[in-house]
Amino acid sequence: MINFLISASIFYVAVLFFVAFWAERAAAQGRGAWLRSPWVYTLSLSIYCTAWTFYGAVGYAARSGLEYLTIYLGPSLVMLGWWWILRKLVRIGRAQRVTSIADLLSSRFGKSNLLAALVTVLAVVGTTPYIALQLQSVTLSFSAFAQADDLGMMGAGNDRSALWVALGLAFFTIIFGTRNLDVNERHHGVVMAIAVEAIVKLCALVAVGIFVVWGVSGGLAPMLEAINASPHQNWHMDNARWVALTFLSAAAFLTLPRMFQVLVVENEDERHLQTASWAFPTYVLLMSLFVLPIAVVGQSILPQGSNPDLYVLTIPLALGQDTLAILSFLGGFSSATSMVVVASLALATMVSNHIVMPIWLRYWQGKFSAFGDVRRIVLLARRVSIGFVLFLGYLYYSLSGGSAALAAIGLISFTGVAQVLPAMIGGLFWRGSTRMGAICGLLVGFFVWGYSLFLPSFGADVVMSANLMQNGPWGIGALRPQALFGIDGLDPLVHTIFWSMLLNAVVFVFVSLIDFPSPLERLQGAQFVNVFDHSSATSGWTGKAGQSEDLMVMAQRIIGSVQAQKLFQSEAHKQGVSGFLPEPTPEFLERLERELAGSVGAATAHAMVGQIVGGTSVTVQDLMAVADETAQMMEYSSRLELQSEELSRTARQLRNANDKLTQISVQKDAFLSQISHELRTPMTSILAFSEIMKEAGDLDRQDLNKYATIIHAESTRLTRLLDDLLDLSVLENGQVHLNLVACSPNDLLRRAIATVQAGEAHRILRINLRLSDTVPDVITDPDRLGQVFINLITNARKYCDAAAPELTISLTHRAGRIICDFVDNGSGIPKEDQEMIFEKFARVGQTKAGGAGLGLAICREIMGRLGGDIAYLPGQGGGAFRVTFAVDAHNFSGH
Amino acid sequence: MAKKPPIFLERDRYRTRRLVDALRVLPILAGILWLVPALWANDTQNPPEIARLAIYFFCTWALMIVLSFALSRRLRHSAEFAGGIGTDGPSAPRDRD
Repeated sequence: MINFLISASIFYVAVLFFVAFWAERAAAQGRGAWLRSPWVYTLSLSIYCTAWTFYGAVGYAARSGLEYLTIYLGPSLVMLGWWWILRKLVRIGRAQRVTSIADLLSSRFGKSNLLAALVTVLAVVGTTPYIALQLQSVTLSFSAFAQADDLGMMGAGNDRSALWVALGLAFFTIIFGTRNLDVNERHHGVVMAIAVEAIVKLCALVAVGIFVVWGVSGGLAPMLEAINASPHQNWHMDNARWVALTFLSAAAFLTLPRMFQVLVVENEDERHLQTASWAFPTYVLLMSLFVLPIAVVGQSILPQGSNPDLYVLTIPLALGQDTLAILSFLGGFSSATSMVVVASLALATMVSNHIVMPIWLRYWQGKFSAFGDVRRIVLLARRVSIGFVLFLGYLYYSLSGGSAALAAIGLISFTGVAQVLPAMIGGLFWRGSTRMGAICGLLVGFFVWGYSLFLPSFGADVVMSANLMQNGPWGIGALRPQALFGIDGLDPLVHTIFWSMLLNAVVFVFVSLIDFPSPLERLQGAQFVNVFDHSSATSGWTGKAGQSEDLMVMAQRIIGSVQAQKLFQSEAHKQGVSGFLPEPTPEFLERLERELAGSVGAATAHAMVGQIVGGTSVTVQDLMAVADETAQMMEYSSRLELQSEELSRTARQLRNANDKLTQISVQKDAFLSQISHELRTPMTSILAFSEIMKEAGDLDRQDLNKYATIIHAESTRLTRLLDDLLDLSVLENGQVHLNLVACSPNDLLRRAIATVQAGEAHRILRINLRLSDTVPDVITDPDRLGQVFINLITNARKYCDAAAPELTISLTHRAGRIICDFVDNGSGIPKEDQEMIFEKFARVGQTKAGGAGLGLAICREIMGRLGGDIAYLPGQGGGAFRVTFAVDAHNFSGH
Repeated sequence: MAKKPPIFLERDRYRTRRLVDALRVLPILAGILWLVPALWANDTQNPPEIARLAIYFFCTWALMIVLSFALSRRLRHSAEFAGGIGTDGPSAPRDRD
């Protein structure tokens, strides 16, 4: 049977991989509307129910009666009260593009990286034992089957299966969690897989429950009687524990990194909360409904001393219900794996954004041009972090020897992570809370937790000496770990929850009251607390013209060139500027920073933009905006300022236009003399040689031939020049006739390259062709389009000034348009000339190669006729042109 | 000059506000209901039957779920929130600094 079990779980894992893969594909192709349904969201919240609740709840009920309910009642309270906290949290998460709970606190308290790193460390310490617990539950359930098979697969076998599970989970998480650096940090594959697992674990537990109530006990009434007759009949509520545990589970629901990930980061739509507000309590109600019956039946039919944590599994096994047992195993397996996947993903995001990236950024301080591909580094950091987190979990598991001590770790872990709560709630609702307050509160809470609960949990004389635990450090009774300030007789867990939360909150509030926050903190505070009032952010940056290209280079390296170009282009479009480089207005910089924050976290994004734009980001005016009293005055003056800014921007644009006009006029003059010169030179030689031929009658055949060749060549040159001029005037007047047929852009490109390469051989241009198979056939004028391609390739060969000239041509298909980029490795076109190159007669510098400067002007006209565009693409590390055109030119050709 | 918010709201918005009030009260009610057994079960000599306690918890729990379901249904259809669960209106308390 164990072999069947192993193949069943491998099959199940394969199904999960398939589901995740399929969801990713559906999302990528834009047909994943159902992926964004509130049901998937609700089911993904069920990672709250880990293996510790799946198996452990029954054990918990067997030991302490109804107390297990608190673990579910707390989160139900939070969900029922979504209007209070969750609504605000989700809104802020979306407005500020928060990537993790550490990012939330860092962003709220002045984008402080110290705070983020602190929360990250806390989260890793708090979560590692929990991951170990999941590994343990999987190995325990394996060995339960092995025992049933009398294989006695104990000892080393346990460790091995834990290792395999850890490796498999790391693999899954890396594949689906770090496939790309998502701008929104959403992982459809992972979310879909855990939604499926949520259904499996619910079905498994309910199936075992139904079997126990109706199959074993014989119905509801006998079951209730059995419960009342069980050893639990004397159970009574321990009020302190009841309140403390409900509070604790509610707090953990909000602060656990994995819960934050699914609640806030993966949230697609605020309205999903409405559905989840009743659907999630229903889910946990069903999860807890049969826990007590299973515990009671387990205690009555299984031999004394069997582990109550495994009743869900051992009852069906003992009664010979193998299918049910396997279903129940898969349920437990699902609970464990989904928790580990999301937890390691959330932790990896935190570690990479708040520990690895800041260190890396500091290392490269001020040298943003040397950044390299940031995306690759972030992804690598995430992958390594996932491996690291899982390794820590495995290490903890094997060091603690999978002992019973692990079972108690669930609540201990909750208490540790809940220390974030005061800073989080304070940050959401109290504008006066400060960074220092949050840091001090966290440190105190964390210290109390470690001292009074975590370290003593290993037992006397393991970490803490028995003497210290009995009598306190240096014999000071008031500092005994489990009886702080001499208050004795409390349950250790209640004791720690009470003191850590109290001291944490008191220190947080006190330090906040006496501290004075920095400007950025106050701005962020206002934005967080009043998130429903200001939907638009107060902007802080003041950029200077000319930084846009640097910003674009950086943005491309972080969010990818496609996204960055789209962002810059849309912003440029909004500002009424053509091309890819918008003015670095404060609004744009704010938007850019937020986009970057979605990938690397608020603190890092802030630092990166700051490195380029420089200077402090918060102005006196912004601070005054924080004070509501002066808001009206501010509004007026800021409107004035806006107007004057608008004016100066218009003035700048006018100046640019004027410059351009002057330049064109100068060029026209230059062209006239150039054209006269160009016409004159061939004319002169034609005249001269034809005169020679006319007057000297006795020329020998060889000379005659030579002169005729010269005359012919010069006439050809003249004709070509006149052709170009004619071509351009025809195109400009719109009298051109297009010959529209279907053809493949790939073939067109290949043909253009072949034509150019056949022409000349003395200058070698290496061409890297990146064609795409998904590009459809287009309806266009192949000769005209080919002409554009040939022109661009010829230009690259003529003007690329690299020692080993190279041209990369890439073809992509996006949103109904074909995009073709020509990027060479030369020095590119200087910024001041970029505006001019598409004008007639324009030539960059005083170039050596001949030509009247009509080529690009013709290209632009052609592309306009074909319903497309040609533009210079800045920031690609060389000369770069982008040709875009519609799949079907019919709609644009003016027929 | 900023416009002064009106003192009274028209019927639809008024209803929506009260709906939100109900949403706010719901978790408080749930919290209190789930503390009732603390008073009830205090009699250590003669504790209530555990099955009855369990039935009490699950019934109140289900009741809360039904209420929450009804409220979120109503909220979805209400006019003010058609465009997303929106902003606190002018009458909502604002934090000042």
